[in-house]
Amino acid sequence: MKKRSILCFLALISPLWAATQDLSINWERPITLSRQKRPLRALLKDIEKQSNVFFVFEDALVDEVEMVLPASGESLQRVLQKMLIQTKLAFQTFPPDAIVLFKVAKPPKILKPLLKETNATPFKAIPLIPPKLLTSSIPDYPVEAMDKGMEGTSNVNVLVGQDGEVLAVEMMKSSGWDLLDRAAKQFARYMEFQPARQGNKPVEIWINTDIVYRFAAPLAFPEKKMDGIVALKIALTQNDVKQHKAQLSELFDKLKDFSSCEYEWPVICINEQLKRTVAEDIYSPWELYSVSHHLGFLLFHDFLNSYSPTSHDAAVSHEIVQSLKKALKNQDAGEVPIFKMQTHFRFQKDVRSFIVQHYPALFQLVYSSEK
Amino acid sequence: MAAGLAFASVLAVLLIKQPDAPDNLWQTAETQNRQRTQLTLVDGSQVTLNSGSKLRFPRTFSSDVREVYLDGEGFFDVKSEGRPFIVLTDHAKTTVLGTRFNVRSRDDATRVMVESGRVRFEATDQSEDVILSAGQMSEIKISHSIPSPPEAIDIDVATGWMNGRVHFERTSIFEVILELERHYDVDIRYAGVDPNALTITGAFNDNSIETALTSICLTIDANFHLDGDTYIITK
Repeated sequence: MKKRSILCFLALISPLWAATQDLSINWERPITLSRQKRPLRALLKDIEKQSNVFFVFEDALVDEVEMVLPASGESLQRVLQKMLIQTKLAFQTFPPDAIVLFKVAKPPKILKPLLKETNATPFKAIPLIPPKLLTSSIPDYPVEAMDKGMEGTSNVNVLVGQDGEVLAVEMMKSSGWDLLDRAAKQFARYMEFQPARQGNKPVEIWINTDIVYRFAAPLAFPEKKMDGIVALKIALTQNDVKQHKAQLSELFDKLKDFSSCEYEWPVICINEQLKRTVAEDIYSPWELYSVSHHLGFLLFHDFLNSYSPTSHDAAVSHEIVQSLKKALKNQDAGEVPIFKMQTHFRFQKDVRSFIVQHYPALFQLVYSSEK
Repeated sequence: MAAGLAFASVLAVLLIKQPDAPDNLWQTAETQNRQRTQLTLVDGSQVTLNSGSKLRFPRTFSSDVREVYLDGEGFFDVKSEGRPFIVLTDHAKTTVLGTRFNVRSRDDATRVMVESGRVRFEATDQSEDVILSAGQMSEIKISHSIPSPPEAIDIDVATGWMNGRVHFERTSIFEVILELERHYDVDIRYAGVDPNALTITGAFNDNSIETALTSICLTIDANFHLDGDTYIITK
């Protein structure tokens, strides 16, 4: 389950890895952006002015996208990472300094016959029955590509012979990764088809298909349940005091449900749902934290801030402690590479200082248990 | 790198020819696709011509005005003196005394961008004009001969072509392709792409047409291939 979460996160930042291969871009260039919600286009312009890069994008991809992207001297690499997390965009670099934004992988296309490119006899008026894919296997995900979080779609033309065997494969559009493209071509060579037919005669034909390498998207937290949490929080702002206790209990249970399933959800989904669930002034400073790690801390910190004192205070404190213990334990044991990445920018220090400031008693507890 | 050198090697190409009579007092400087050039006029003003552009100018300016005719794109560094300097395009007139500015007359529109000083910009029928200051631009379309209100621009971006960088800002694929054809001296066609519906923003260097097309196709989710001497973009 943890592995899946890691892979999802790596999938999101994988274009960044591709980008860092290009030494002409200074990825450590410090970037400063305001905390205000701003159009993505304006943010990109600001980043361009402060760095040595130029963005290339279809305007429709960024128009009407607004986001909060605070940065205070953070590296270009980290700022772009934060940007990716909030959008459904990926990017690829082109030397020496271009960064091209594009939509993340799309669903597989249906196999399409390419009549014009085949050497077969012209089809005239006799209807063509396209070839039918018989191969039931899915492409093998190269282990190295999986480890490095590579995702992408290779688009290939495949020449299907009269006996249904593949005679030739042409790479039409790269996935962006040589490793995946090689695996895609290898897979395509061994696909088997029921041959295309024109009348009763099998014919040779080119078809075009996408071969998609993508980590399986985990199930999202059901929208209905999320709506229930939001509705409860709204209800708790009303003055029906008699209902408060029952509503708080219900909310507490729902939050526990949310936090205990964190690894089941795609990162973007978590962020969108957390934005709706956790007060903005709590969510924003911990945005990166919420991307990759235990949500319990954030959820119950919000709960405690919003509804304290309640009969759930002890239980909430317990939840905070549990999520922190888990985080610290994983970090110490090196079980969660994501957490190590986060410590690279002193996240661990941030957590501790935050806890010391807001929950001095809890910090003692967590710190001693860590020791 | 090789592409860059190839580009540099043709920069110096400048075709100066005598126009036919009766305009034998005029000269024409012309650049082909994939060429840029720089020339100094008789008053000491300097002009940098972008690829696929033509500048017609007199051997000597008259005593009261300095007039030149531009078809294409050029950056003007005008020497300051008493006589106004006027750049005429098919349908627009740009008047200055001494300043640095860029005039682009392509595809039924003329656009002026000012780096320093002040510029008066108007349609040739002189129905209305605008005064542009440093960092401002305005455009006159042939179909609508009134200059657009002054608009702030990044002049470094707008004149990036002088350093071999092509910039686009909310530019239709149609215009992008025309510019790339001029810049790289290639033929580009498209199929299944509505060239006016898609717009892009970005910048491309001299390195290669393939890099530029790969970038564009990646962001608009299209493909391209080379068919003979023509690049075909398909959706």
